[in-house]
Amino acid sequence: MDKLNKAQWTFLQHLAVQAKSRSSEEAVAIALVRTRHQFGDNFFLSDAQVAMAHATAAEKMGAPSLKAARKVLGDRAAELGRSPEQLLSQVRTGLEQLVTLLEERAAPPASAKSQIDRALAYTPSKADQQDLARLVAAPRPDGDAIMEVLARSPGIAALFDEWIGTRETYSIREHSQMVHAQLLEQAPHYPLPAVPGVDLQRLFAILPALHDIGKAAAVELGDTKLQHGFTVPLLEHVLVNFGFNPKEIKMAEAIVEHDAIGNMVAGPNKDAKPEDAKAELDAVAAELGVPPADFFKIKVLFFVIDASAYPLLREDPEGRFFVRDAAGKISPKDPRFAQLSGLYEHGAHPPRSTAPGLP
Amino acid sequence: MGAGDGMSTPTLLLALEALAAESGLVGLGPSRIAVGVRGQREQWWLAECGPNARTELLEERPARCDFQVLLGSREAEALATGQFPEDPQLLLARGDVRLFRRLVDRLRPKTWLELRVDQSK
Repeated sequence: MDKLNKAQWTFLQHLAVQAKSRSSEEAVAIALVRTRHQFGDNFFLSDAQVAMAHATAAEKMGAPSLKAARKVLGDRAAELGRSPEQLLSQVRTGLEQLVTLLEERAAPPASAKSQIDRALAYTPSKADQQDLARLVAAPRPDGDAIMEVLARSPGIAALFDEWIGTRETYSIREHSQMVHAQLLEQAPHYPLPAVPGVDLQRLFAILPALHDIGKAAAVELGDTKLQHGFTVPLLEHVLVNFGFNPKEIKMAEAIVEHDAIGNMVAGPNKDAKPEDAKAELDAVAAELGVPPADFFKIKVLFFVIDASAYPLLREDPEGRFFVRDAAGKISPKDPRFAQLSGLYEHGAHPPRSTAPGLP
Repeated sequence: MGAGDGMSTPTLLLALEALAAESGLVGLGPSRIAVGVRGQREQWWLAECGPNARTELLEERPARCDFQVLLGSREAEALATGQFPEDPQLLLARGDVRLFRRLVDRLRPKTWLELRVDQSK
């Protein structure tokens, strides 16, 4: 086989990516356009054909059982009084009948809720666990690779493809990738505290992929506020299966479930007060047994990477939502955020009990 | 020995091996698709589609498939004659049938390379 040039390999890579979600015809067309975009219009269809023929030939060379199968198939066809070509043609017809029957029997596309159930029933293999442990321990974790390991669960893979239900049409996979990118950018500006028994670096490496994993089920029900009811059980299931300890799981749930900062700066209540947000945050910190100021730092980092992941907010032409300083640190613009930070910096109100009926 | 006596490799699985080699599985999205035939014992054909495509004949059901279908030997024999029964006695399928549809489409007489050439005209 002739060697392929760089453009042809690039074409095959584009083709493999596109073929995951499109028909073969569309995938080839798009791969061709993208390759031309990179290498110029002198990448012709004939170059693409050579690349595809190369790939097909490579496949055939890698099929050691093919010759034996061919021989037995020839004998089998002779027994049946048919030529091998006739036999293969009849098998194709039979396969078409089979797949048509299966399509007729197939249920309508699975709901997001059923994908959550599917994901909850999935247990990762030892290799999956080892792969993820290695990835989340990296100094600059690879978000795509982490999501790829998680997506070995078919239910999670399906949930990643669901729509996130915001004004901007992103899949959960895309939004999670954006959050991860913000994590890599903003984490140096928001040092995390040391929390005994909790490896926050490891936790933050996996949270972007999972923090909205149940959102599609809530979108299905028409109320995104219900998302935590779907996200948290699956988050817990995944973290348990990948060896996170109970304290880390509790912390993960607290990070994802409570959004006192977001509710204050972007919630429907325009009169929300920093003191109320602090009381809510401190109550959760008390449950976790973490100093309130430390928990606040953790929540701020997660809020910033999640909210600033939306280009609509981060790149708002009027700059209404975030400010970015000269060093690149992004902070919420709402003055109440600075007030809330001030409450932690200067020490203030003790945690307010959330138990009803108590003074 | 014939296709569905439960001892030799079923004709259907041999044919799938030959058809997949002819058509190629590279351009299909990454997925694991398995077809099994249950005679006196189960035999399976596994296709791993995607950039590192490969196929395999197995003595037991492969794990972690995106789609798998198990046929009785009678059903497999009928399929190999181009007459799949409308009311099969043994037909168990699990997973995303759309992946199986893509595979079956790929195994049609024209290769995907030929299809691409046709598309470009």
